[in-house]
Amino acid sequence: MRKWLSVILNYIVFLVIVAYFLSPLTWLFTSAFRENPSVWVEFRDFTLGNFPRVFTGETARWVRNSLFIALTTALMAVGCSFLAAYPFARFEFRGKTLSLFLLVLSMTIPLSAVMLPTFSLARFLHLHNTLIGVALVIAARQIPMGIWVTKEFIASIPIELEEAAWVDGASRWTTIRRVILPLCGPGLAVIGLMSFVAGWGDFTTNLIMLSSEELYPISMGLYKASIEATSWGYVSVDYGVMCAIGLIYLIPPMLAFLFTHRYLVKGMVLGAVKQ
Amino acid sequence: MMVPAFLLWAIFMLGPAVWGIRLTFTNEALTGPAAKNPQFIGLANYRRLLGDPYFWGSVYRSFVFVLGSAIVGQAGLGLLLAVLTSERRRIWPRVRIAGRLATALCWLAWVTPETLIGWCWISFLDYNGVLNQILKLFGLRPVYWMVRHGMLSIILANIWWGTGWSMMLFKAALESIPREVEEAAEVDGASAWQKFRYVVLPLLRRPIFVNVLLITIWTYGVFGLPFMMTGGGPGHRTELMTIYAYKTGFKYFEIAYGTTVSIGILFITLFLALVYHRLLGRRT
Repeated sequence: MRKWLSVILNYIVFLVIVAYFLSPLTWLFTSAFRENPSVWVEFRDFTLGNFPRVFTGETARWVRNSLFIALTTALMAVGCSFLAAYPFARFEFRGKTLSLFLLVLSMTIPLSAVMLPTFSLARFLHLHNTLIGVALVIAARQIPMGIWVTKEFIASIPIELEEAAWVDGASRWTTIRRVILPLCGPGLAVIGLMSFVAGWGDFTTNLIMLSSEELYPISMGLYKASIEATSWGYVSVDYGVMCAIGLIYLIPPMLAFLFTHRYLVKGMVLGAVKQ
Repeated sequence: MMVPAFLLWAIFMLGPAVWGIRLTFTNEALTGPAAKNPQFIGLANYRRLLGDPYFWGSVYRSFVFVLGSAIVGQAGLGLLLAVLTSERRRIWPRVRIAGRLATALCWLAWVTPETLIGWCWISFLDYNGVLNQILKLFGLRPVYWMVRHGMLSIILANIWWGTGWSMMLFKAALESIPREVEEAAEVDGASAWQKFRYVVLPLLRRPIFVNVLLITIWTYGVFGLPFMMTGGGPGHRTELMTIYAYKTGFKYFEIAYGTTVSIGILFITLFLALVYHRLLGRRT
């Protein structure tokens, strides 16, 4: 009797949790495949026509801008982190501990705490209302994590591998390019993916930096659509296309997560988990 | 070699923090006479801050938001999910697939970009939305969620978003507990609850503490999701510190005073970060 009670209780808890996590998404997943969907869930008027329409007009531009921001962010973050990580892993220099400490500490500053000075600074540098400015701000926020992960990766590569090449007359640059870079591949891929997703999903940076609608990425597009829907009624927004673009928007972070989630916990909280 | 990374970091990460502290001593604005010639006005912004009821209101609301969505919600639900779906303990024995499903959904929510979460939750909580549809199924009256229960709405949405992280961390922590410890308790005849309460939970004290610290830091900085859902309204009822800072800066164009508001968040997070750093530092 007691046993059955606990089994039933388990099922109830399970159902409540699954319902909580699933129900906000049901509307997204059904509406993307419906013709002229409304704000509630119905299973009729099935169509795949919303997806091709994403790649025309305004929404196509959103996708392009998001891709540009995400790719630029990833390239800058990977390149800068790799170059800076090598000295941290291989050399001893004055201020090394201090700069690592500052790097890690700066990681915790939320963008929302510095969004006004960021805007003010970007305006000062004439980088506001440009996509490259957005990418620079996001990439800078990926640098500490990027340097940290790459540094650990390089430090785990035996120095003997490099020394062997130096004996054969290779310069430091050559070993960095031919020995270190290929062996760092997986680590750099993780940083690249994480930075890509950071640029892809970012909202706040775009909100404070961009004022012209031609530069809007998907996040700003969805924000604009939600404002239109709530202030001018639901007829003003094409929910089918918006939910279709929402589903497309969800794919890159999902894929990236599958590849990186092993590193995520290790990356930042190893010290917390290990007793 | 370190120049590009250092420049990028110094200009766009350290820069705004330093620039921001400088800004708080000026009267820079986007409109009005101060827009052209910002002046140094000493501590006037801070004096205004101390007497600003909206600021203290936002401090209180941020605290409630963090307490509800991070500490109770994400950490609590994350721990519950991690324990219930633990592969080793099989609390949901015949529902192993169920555990996997719950875990996968929780992760899916965690990786969803914040505007997409806002997009889904706005319609989910709409008067004609899915939540009210479900309520009607049980014969309950529909509710104007975001108008009547604004704070609850953004807290629920934020729990939905962030629980995946806590669950992931607690899962890793649970796996690191040696099997023998729990087996020993079983041999001594401990029930599942006793085993959890007196063996597992004490061993999880450190991960729980570190996780609560981390998500507190992050949740104080949450801006996009609640801003998109309620925009601080109705009235000021969901105006968190971040939202108040944004509105002061970009709606009323008082850059300097808005920065002064957000300096509060900077200090809170830096303080917690230093605690976190000392904790990790002591171990190594």
